[in-house]
Amino acid sequence: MIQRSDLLRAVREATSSEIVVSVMSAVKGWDRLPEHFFWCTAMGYGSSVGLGLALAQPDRKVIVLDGDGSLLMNLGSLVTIAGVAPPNLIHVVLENGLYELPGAVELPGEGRFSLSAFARAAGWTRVWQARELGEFESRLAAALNEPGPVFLSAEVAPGSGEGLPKMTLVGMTRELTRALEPE
Amino acid sequence: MSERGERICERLRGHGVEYVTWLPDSETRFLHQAMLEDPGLEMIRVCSEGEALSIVAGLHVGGKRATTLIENNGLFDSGNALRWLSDSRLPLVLLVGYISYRYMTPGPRGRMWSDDYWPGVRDLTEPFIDAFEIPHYLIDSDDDVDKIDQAYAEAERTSRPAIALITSADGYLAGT
Repeated sequence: MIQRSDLLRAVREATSSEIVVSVMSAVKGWDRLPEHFFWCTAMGYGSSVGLGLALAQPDRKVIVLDGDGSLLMNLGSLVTIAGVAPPNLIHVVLENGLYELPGAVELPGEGRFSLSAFARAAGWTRVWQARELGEFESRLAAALNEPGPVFLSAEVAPGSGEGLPKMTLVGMTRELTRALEPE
Repeated sequence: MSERGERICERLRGHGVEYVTWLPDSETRFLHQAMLEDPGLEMIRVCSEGEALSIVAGLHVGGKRATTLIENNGLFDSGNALRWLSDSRLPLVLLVGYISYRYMTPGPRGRMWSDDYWPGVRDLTEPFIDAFEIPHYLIDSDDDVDKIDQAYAEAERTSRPAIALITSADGYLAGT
């Protein structure tokens, strides 16, 4: 099982100019993420925002950091993304079987469903799973160097990571918009 | 093909729109038909209206202009995505079908369904959008197409979304 703080550090070390999009609970441990190219989305919609960014910025990889509870709110996005098939999108799902923010409440049907199986059934062809940090690092490196879209599920331990982002939504939206403007 | 549909497409292209995130509905059938025929617009089919709003936001921040073509009932279902979009201060214009507008009449508390269809039931489209303090513009005739320009001007002025409410131009009945 992977500690979330280690996973986020691995994302930061593996990236430079890639865009990282996250839903709120997946980014506890904010200080371990890239300082730029970052955006927090509405509950459940990280994958959809990531799809828009991937289409608009085809020369840049877009990494979505999603939670399992969050993706359950927007399963249809797996179908939409498989239909569009943007080669620069990497959808990382941090799976701990919990709604983390309200106090680690177990997901409905926990242990009986597989988000990776959902992704395969929706039409994704590159669906990878990582249970250990080294496995995650090698999968992420491969995803950054190969055409996607890639669905990368990571089994993370509950409860690790620190506080939530301090930056305002407007602030991060404007910063990302500026960072992506042509020079 | 609907002339109003073509004119709306032309306006959208004039504002730099290249992408439309789309979940079809009967009210705006005339418009999606025109959009599908327009080589300057790329239609992205989605599974929910919340997705449509979120993809448009990602496109916009990434430097591409986009709009939605979704229905009002789906907008109700995506309130949190709409709130996030508005709080992100993105100057987007969203196209939203005003389902069954023609079957409603103005009442003291807003538009009411006619007694032939849903007696005593109030439509919540405009009150719902008003709750987000998002301006909206009714596109119910050929002359109303100019209001799309007003919606863009307002979105730019306020750095917030605006909504164009689209009614049927061809009287298409759902499922026929």
